[in-house]
Amino acid sequence: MAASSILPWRYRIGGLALTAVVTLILVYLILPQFIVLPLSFSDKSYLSFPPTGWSSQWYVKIAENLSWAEATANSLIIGIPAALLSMIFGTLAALSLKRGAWKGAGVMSAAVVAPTMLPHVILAIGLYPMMIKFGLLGTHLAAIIGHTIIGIPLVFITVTAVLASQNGALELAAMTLGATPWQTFWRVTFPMIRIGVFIGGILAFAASFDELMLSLFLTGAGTRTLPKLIWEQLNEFLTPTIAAVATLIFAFTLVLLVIASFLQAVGSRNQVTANG
Amino acid sequence: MAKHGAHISLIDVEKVYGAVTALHPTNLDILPGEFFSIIGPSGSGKTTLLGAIAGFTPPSNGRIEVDKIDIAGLPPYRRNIGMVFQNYALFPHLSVFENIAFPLKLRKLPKKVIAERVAAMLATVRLTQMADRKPSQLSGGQQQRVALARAAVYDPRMLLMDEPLGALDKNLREEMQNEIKAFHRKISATVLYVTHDQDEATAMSDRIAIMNAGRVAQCGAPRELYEHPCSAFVASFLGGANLFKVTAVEDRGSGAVTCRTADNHVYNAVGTSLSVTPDKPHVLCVRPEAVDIADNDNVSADGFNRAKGSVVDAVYTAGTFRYQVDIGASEPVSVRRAATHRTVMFQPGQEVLVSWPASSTLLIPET
Amino acid sequence: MAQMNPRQDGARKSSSWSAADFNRLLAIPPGAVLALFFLVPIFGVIWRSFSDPAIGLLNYRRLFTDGPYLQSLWLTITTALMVTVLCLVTAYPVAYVMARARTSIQQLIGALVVIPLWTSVVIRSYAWMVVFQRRGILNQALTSTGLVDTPVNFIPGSIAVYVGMVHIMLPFMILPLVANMRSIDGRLLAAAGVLGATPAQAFLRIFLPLSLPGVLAGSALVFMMSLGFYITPALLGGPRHMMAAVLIEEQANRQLDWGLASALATVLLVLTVAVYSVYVRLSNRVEGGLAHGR
Repeated sequence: MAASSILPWRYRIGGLALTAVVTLILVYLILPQFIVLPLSFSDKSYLSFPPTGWSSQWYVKIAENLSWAEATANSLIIGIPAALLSMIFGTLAALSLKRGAWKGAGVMSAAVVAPTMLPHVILAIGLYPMMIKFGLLGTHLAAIIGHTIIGIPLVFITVTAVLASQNGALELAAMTLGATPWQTFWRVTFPMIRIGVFIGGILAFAASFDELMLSLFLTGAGTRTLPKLIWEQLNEFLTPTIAAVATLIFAFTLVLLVIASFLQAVGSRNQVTANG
Repeated sequence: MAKHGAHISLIDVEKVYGAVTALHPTNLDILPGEFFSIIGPSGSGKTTLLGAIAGFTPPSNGRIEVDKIDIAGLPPYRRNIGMVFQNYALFPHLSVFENIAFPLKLRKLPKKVIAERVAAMLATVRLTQMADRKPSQLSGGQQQRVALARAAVYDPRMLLMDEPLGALDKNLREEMQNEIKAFHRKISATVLYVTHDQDEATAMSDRIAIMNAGRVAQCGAPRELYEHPCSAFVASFLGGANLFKVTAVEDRGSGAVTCRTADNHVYNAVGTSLSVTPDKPHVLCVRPEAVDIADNDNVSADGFNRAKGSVVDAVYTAGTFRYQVDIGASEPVSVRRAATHRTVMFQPGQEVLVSWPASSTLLIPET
Repeated sequence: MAQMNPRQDGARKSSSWSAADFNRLLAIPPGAVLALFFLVPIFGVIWRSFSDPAIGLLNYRRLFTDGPYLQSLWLTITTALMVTVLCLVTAYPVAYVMARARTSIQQLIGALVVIPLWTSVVIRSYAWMVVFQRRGILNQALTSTGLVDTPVNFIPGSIAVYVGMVHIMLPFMILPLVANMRSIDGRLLAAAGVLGATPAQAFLRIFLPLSLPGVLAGSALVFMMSLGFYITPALLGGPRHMMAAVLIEEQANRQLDWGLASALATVLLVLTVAVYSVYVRLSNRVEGGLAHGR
């Protein structure tokens, strides 16, 4: 900071202006949170902001209306298996492509990452007729399959990053010590990528929990997910109920986020160990 | 403890990647209990050779025999080889004890036996106090000793070491060289040691193979390699060497030759390789410590090659004078003399006479 | 060394061991899942665009001759472009400050950037509905200050779409930029200063060129994601700002015109792949240029 004092005044003004602009942008980024939270405690039935009085009626409404609980249950029934499947397939793909030494590895890694890049609507209208043919449309399984495709790249990317930071000689070392590829995986590789796999799983779950497009096409009346229910409500009547739902979801997400960052901290401590 | 080290024979082992030959057909015979080093510049094929023996990179052709049994088709985990890796490759999630116990657990030994053998090994490498630490809590030298212990705890009859001291600083390296030598004597396994550091290899090995461009350039005891290099590459890779390009050779019989160099000096030399490779270009090789340096008006004895020149550089390091003397050749002559040799060092610009015995002047192929 | 694992042994007893073989084996399950539930549906969409209701280019002829569809495609591209530029302009200063700030500030900004990322897109768009609706905050402010007499109808409309989409895409621009800017050695700017560059010159001649890989990565990411964006334009844009994804959903789910929806999706797919390959080309050139010192 001492250095800035010898700069001409216009640079200091520039610095202040930059700080002001950045602050404004950050306020813009965080603004929705500060709208949704107070709105969820509003006493009016329409979206007036700022609220003129406070009540917890919208939270009570959520508790009374069974469709919210049902949608939450559906989101969990779809999200948890989708995350677990993503963890398995994403980790396998990451392990297999780690050194990329085999023919077709390039095509494979492009195919794994592609679902993050392509608009979900394309996958949705592609899966829809397929699920009709399999007789799965409107079942939980249809959405689980769709969300697994979305989740695989997230696990793949996280685990690949962990593998890249890990010393490849460890596996060779295990093999010279007598471990078969199978034993090498369970005793050496997996313990070191475990945290990456879990973090990827959390990301995959969060992606499923927030996914709308595939759910719009693949779930039915009995299997609709939370985002789909919110979506239907938004298109029909705008009440602060949704703000209350949003606040609850945000609180839940925050818990997930804290778990993920805790795991990440543990992981980076182990990483220091690995490099030490 | 192993009764004896393994006898390792490489027979026409070759490794080809597409159009690139990483290792030309190679034959090596490593004797039971030997400390055998492979040295060479990076890309010379030493890692490929090690990988072939460890089983990471199966050779394209040839056989790798351990005590007359071909292991070329076996995966690494069936070879019962101990290996120490460059950065030790200690498992970060396991303690020192668990690291050393790892190969024993895989071999399904009873818990009690495992505990005993790990404890014995920890005592050997003086790390008994550190058993419960994680590798990250150890110093570099301690990690190195854990790696040694882990590689040897199941009594493999051969121990591969891939630049095991590469990550350590100079002082610790020398300490660990002694440590590894002592360790080798204790476990009596055959050691195959890969390094790019020629001093390390010379200090530790019974025999050395020098590799260059995917081939073994020369194989032999350290002293033999130093005193009788078979090519200019070996001569300059192992210690300093003055090399003079030879344009004409006159054979005087029984190994004695007289040579004219590219810069028109005539030197007497010994040359045994001439009969083997008469068509190759040759050089004369003289080690810096074989060269004497004296005042210009001195006369040297018979049987010496001599040249007049002027000192271009003079340096004192650790009890030694090092000179560079211009004698009109393309490169100045390097001279290394013990500082006890003279009280006053020659200074740059001084006219001097350099001389070296014909018996220390070797006529060798350039490649 | 007794049989340690029959499963592995059975497969490999005869042949020599190879890491590549094992890696390929691992790829089979994810490869099969992705082939069946990703590649087959995508190719199904492409096939349907040429075959539903009849084999031929019928759907594409409609797409490229019928005003509204072409208009929607064009709107999709221009919106994605606009959102990318707006994101870049707003993200760059934030990333710059974040990359060069002390750790505590870095963490604060990082949290502010990541929190929206972890909030549902539907809900963030809902928040912007609250802001932009007829009786929303913005209209209250405008009317109470007397800037307008009657509330403005922001929804449905383009301004609301841009504000909402930029908000959602901003973290995807900031994060690659920060990652790139952190890797720029701060001593380079000090060196430029010692060599006589003013801070402005040092920024323009050293920092800006070195940050190009981050700019490219962020822009490509935002542009590709914007092309297929559905939620925000559907909620805030309405029929006035009908982007391709909204149109596809409508054609498929409501008009049941699967052929046209598939053709639109195929065009969107081709666009996304094209943008990606342009990005790969450009980033190779930028990085290559940087590597050669330009």
